[in-house]
Amino acid sequence: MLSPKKVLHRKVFKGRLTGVAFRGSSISFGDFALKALDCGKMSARQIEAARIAVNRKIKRGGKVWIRVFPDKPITKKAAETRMGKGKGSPEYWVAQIHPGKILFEIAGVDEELAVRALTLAGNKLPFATKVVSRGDMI
Amino acid sequence: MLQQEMSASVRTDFGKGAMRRLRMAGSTPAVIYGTGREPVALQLETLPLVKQLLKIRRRNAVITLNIEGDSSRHVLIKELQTDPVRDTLIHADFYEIPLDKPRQFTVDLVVTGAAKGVDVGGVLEVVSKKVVIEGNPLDIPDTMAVDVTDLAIGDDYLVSNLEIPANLKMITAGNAVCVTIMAPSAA
Repeated sequence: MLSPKKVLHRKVFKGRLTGVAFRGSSISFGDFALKALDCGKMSARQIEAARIAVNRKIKRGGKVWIRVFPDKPITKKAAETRMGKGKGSPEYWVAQIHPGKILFEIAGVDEELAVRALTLAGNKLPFATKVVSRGDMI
Repeated sequence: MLQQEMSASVRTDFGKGAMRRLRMAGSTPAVIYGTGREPVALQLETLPLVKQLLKIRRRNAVITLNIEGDSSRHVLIKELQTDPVRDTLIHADFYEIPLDKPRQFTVDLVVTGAAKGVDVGGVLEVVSKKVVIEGNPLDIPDTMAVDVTDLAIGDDYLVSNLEIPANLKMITAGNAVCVTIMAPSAA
């Protein structure tokens, strides 16, 4: 699963997700892409599940780009622990997603297969997504 | 170069609220500037504009912009702002150019033919997909063909091999590689 090699701070504030993604909101590499429509956090596990779903559908026929990276640590207190005594330990990594962010891109497969593969990937994610194509770009 | 014609009218409303109302009414705000003249705020009908932009597809194109109550001007598309979620057009920037003055343009390279080296197991690698050419806007070709038919394994197709008309000037270095045929072991 994706995770940073090293970080400046092991634990970070929770934060709030607002606004839209102006950067990373257009197709850069492939012909078809999965675009987020809502704010949300995408864990490394979900990125991997979506990537596997795409690769299994296209049977490793085309090329897949992952446009997001989980660089925010999420902490969790151990089970049956009383509140207080400081912040919990880092448990997993997430990518913070804003509406409009391109999550995955595909090239080298036909439109029907690309749409089916990216729809499967979108079903693994905790926010609404849509499939976009380079042909629809103005 | 691709040529298109569009019609626009001068815009007198400015600001966020007015522009939202304009977009809801089916128009897109735009601006034209260049050639030392004062910028002019414009508005264009969204549907025909989008249809024409989809034809252009971010390629080089000279657009003849017929402005209502003003002369027609030759422009390039300088910038297109789109909504990151809905992918709808928010704003367009047009850059006025004189057609008789040379300018630099980035032109796409298109690989044509089947290389000899590929038939014997080599791997075709496209090193650069674009070149920069200087010339009068209407003389610039849409694409430039890279004929790789004669390339064997280890051969390169250099920018200097591209044939361009005498009235154009190649700005990209002549020794830059466009396409190379690599040996299977090196690939």
